[in-house]
Amino acid sequence: MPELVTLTIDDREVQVPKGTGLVETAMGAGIEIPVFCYEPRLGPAVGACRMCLVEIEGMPKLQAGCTMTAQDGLVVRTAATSDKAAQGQNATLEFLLLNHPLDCPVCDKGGECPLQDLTFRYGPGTTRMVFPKRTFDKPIPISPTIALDRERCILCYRCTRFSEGVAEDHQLVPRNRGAQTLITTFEEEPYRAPFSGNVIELCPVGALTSTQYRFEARPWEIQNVPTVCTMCPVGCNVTVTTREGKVKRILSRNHPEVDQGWLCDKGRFAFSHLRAEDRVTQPLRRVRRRGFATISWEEALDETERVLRGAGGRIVTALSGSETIEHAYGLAKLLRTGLGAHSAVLPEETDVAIDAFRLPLSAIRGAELIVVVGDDPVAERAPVVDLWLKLARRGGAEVVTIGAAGSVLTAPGSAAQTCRELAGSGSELGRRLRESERAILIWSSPGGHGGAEIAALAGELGFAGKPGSGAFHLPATPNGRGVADAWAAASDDEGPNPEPIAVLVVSGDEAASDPHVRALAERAETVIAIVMFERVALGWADLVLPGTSYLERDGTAMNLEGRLQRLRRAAIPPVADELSWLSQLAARFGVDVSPYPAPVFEELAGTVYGGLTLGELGERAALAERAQIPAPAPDPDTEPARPSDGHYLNLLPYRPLFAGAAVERVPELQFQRPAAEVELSWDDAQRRGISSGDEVLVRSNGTSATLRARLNRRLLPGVVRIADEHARDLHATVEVTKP
Amino acid sequence: MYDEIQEIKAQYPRTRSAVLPALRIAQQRYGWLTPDALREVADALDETPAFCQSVASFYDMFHLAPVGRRLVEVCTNISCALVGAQQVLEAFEQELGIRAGETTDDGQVTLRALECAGGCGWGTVVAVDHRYREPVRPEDVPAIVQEVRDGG
Amino acid sequence: MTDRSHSPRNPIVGTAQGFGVTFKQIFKKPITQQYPEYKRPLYPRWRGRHRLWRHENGLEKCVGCSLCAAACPADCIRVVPAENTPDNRVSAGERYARIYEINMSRCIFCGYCELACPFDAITLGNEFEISEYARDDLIYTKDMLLAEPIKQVPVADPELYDTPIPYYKTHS
Repeated sequence: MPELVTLTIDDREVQVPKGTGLVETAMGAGIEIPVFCYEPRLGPAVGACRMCLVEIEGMPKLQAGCTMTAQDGLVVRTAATSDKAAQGQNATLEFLLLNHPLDCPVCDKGGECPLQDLTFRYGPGTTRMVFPKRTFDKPIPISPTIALDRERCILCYRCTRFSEGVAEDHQLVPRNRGAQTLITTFEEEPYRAPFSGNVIELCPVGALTSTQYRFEARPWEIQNVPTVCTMCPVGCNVTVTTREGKVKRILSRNHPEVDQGWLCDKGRFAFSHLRAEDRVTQPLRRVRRRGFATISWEEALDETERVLRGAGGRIVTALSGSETIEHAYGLAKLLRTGLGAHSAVLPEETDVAIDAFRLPLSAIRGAELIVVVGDDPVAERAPVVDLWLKLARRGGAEVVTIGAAGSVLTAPGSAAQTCRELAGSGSELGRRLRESERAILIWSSPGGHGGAEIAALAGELGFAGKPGSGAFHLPATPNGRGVADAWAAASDDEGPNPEPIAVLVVSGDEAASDPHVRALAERAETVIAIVMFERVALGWADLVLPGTSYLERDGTAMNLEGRLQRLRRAAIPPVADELSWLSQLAARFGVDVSPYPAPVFEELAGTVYGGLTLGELGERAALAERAQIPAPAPDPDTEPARPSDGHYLNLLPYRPLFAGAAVERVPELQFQRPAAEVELSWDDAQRRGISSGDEVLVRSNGTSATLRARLNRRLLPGVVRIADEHARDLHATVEVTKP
Repeated sequence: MYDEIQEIKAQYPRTRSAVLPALRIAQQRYGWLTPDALREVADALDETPAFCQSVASFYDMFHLAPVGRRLVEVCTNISCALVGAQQVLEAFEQELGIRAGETTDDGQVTLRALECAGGCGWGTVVAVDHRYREPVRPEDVPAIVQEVRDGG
Repeated sequence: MTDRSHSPRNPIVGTAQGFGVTFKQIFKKPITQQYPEYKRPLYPRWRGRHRLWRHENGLEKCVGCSLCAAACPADCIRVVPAENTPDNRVSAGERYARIYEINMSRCIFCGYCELACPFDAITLGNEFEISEYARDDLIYTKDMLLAEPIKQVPVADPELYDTPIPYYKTHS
């Protein structure tokens, strides 16, 4: 129990733990200390804006309240009771408005602007600034997604503190000094970082605005829908702003255990894929080799029914892992109970063993030792987890990454082997993990048997008995676990994998873009694809049924922690959503599927989620208790990676965050997609006479690609890393030469 | 330069502390901090070029634009301002035919207004290639300019 | 209390009294005004059909800020803004109203939009003859609001006016 101190704010006595910020202390007492620059999530207060001036007994001058903490016997007077403080704040606002253009009717922030609000309440009613104001070129696109208006900037440094102290990308910086300071990037290069969009939300004026939301709507014309982003397995809570039925922007919604109010650019800006020009809005049937003809829903359902009936149960289903649990359950129930088609390509298995080490993501902040195992950068798989890791590191935790580009270098693909070594008695790191009360393991690599590997390690290290220690598995799909649960809940029967495949049902664009699913499609007689985008299915699907996006669905999804969260429909889809036509189709096979998600959830929750109700999930879903499951035995036969022989290099493809069918259809996000680059270690580059920026030829058995070289001093020699969209046809070992 | 910066980096507990000496090396090498020089420093320190530029722009001693062969700096901070630094600066402007912050057309002389040079007892302080002349009065300016032009 | 509705009264007297009132009116000057031949004078601040204005250089005053829509108690204004470009400069500010619609069938002519407007871009004029045969036609678009009102009823006989002639008598 921390020591309590008693202080007086505006004649009110308050008791708080020692060290609590004065702003929070006052807030707890129901007193407002207005702020612009103060934001506890950005680290220590800087007192840059001077809005929080308060009078403190015994101090001759006004003090910045945000920089002070609660001390015993402090007597604080805010603007409410102190004329001096009120005058100070009034003068501060007059000063802030000295060069502020007051173009509120034009500004996107107008109506939700802290500067507007606080000027209205604390500021001078009139202006004495009759002379011309300082002007700049505006708006400056500091990236295709963010516009900067320097005239409006009040130099609170929230954005640069975010860039420096939260995202740690160090790209948005102040230039020059004092009143001449400008917010800028290096040499007008775009602000290219996975979390850049957060600065828009942090900006307390209209200096940093979203280009997508630019002049789209005003705060009184919009509806905000609380939902959950399912672009990656983190499941950040978001607020979707819609106007006239169209999604206009996505804002973060603070779930302190999941995202802390941060949101990556993919979650924030990728929504315009809803309006992609190749969006499927009508069922399509293949005509000739590479064409589609629009058919009516009646025809489509007839055709689907005919194809499914004719398959004689020889049906394989490929799921994306981006479906809602209800949608996957509806599909599973139709196919499994109605047609006896039990064969499915599930996006990714998740082992329940990981539930024995379940923790909220916020536990990472409190950990003292964090070990990330795997070759994939955490930011590419689950971006917000990377922010938690950075927060932990700043708080003094030790973060060890073990992989081909980690702080401890291992051969690519040896994550499972690393786990074995850590569990063994010879490992110093393993010993420290065992001794620590607050240690966390994170698996950030493909494979790993759905977390079973990392769970086995956690079990051996004795994490089950330590409530502060836990393990996370970073899956590749947003809701793979929920989809697998739904598929399992639909039926207990099992069936053989059919050969040959009569019908392949492909659910979702991710599955349709998957090369394995495409290979399966070659063997199938008929392919039914449920996709959002026509080009994804073009040329290989026989029947296309329109799909919807997570922003258009009601339902639930399970994130990487195992937290069940509720999605809400923000925009009405341009087509009937999957569950509604699945319900009609299921009726033709005598299967009862409700067209509404709530009854579907009720039905399946009884089987797999212990009768949980949607009401219990709420807007900020809680995490279920740790399960008591014995850790699995480690998989003995892990394939060790091939060492490089100097001439050939091991190719390490990774799936970038800014990839996928949705991101491809957002023009503003194209600059975030990985460049056609090959990452080379310093040694390998030196040996081949390659320097950063050179064009190089990457060759493997029969295929080759011309890519730009980028040197990565952290990469293990003998390994090259390429984003998988650029490494498509390359084999596991490659040769890199200058052409 | 990379190796040189690595040496300096090793002397500090945190790499960020080495930014100033590393920038100094780059400036000595290139004359001013070109974008490429900043990129090079950033690469050597494992920082971003934006961060290096931000630091460099804060300090008067770093040049983010090309400067002439000779550098004339006039302190315009409070102590010097009280004894007429503005007049001295204007005298230089007139004599050289350029405004503060500009370089003469022949690339010989750059004139800048400087923040406090630390010679507050002997204002106005004028630094010619970092060597102080003090106190300087407007009437001394033509002689200094002549000297600078003559290469003295 | 006495119940007057059942008070005993001579029906003949009552009828005569009633007709008496009617009879007296015959000798009075009628106060009925023959609209539309005769149009009553309007007060100068009468609030009628809206008008959007341009600057003298031809640019629209409206920047599409939607403050009128926020102020509107009947929720009859819809503004969809867009950004001015060098090739397509519509208003003086950074943004302009790409769509500006007033649903006249909902408007209650309160004038709050005029009050809210920071650029004096919208004012309420004197025209009130804006009935239509179809409700859809009552949704006024930006072009209609920027234009001079088109008179829809026959022009009244100027001789019948006893007040200053309304604006549209001389402008049409």
